[in-house]
Amino acid sequence: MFEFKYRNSFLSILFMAVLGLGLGAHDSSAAEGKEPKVFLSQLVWCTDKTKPADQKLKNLDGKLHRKISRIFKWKNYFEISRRDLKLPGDDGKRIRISNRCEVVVRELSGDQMEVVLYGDKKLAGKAVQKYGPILNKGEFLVIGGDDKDNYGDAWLLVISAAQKKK
Amino acid sequence: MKEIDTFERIQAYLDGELPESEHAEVAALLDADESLQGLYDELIEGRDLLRTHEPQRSVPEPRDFYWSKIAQGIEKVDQAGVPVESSSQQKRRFSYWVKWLLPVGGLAAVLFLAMLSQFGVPKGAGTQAEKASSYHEMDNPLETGSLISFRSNSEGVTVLWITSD
Repeated sequence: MFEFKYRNSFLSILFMAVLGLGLGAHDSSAAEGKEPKVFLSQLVWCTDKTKPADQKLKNLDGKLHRKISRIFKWKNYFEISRRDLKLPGDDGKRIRISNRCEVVVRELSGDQMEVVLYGDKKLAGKAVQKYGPILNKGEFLVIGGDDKDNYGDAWLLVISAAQKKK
Repeated sequence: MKEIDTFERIQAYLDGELPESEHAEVAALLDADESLQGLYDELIEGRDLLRTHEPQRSVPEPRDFYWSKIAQGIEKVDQAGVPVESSSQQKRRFSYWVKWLLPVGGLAAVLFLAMLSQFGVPKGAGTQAEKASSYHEMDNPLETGSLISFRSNSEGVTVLWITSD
């Protein structure tokens, strides 16, 4: 048994240990309660043709159109579909973007995300990217490829930060 | 017998061990007798040879002497009146330090853990280099085709282009 004179010291240590555990618990609960990361995924059709009348296609919004058209040289960029991707809610789930396109997002260590793309149920590509610049700086991750069915056309899957709903 | 006595006297003369009273007598003998002078010269030569060529050997310090020196040193310190702490004094000193060190050490440990949990340690830290914000990697799962990576810093756009053959 400890001598009586050491009891105050050990009581103070016990108090601090409880305090520390409390701080840690507070921190972990804060971590658990972090806001989900919400990304917007947009499937874009790049073409020199005019918009088909029989399809419900949207023109790209100004900012994305401006950036994309500075990199690629197609005349028109139409949004085929869009879908929010939430982390950790959608982590590892296969999300359908269009009839032919599916995407899986995963959160990785080091503030990175993995985007796995499936086209016609076949693995088409995989990218690992830091999500900080996408969420905080408004950057874009674009995965694209040639449209096999329409010569000269292409498709893009654009990952960006979702607009926060007010 | 007389020769032996004379030899010893010359030896003593040479070594400076002869009494003052006999000193002058032996000096006179050496001056008068050439054979004695020769003997004297030989003795000097022999002494010089021994002095210059005899190897110097240091005798190792005996173990008992080594420890006895330490014991003597301790005795000297004790005699000088160095206060020896009693066991109760030692305990009191120990408890004084324990009283302060334990809470302070505990507080430091708690603060360290709290800071660690607050700021966090990045997963895999120390095992790999930190990645730039523009870092990306691509994996090509295609059997036929390839991936091309492009980044526009001015537009803040990273493009991975999948080509198929």
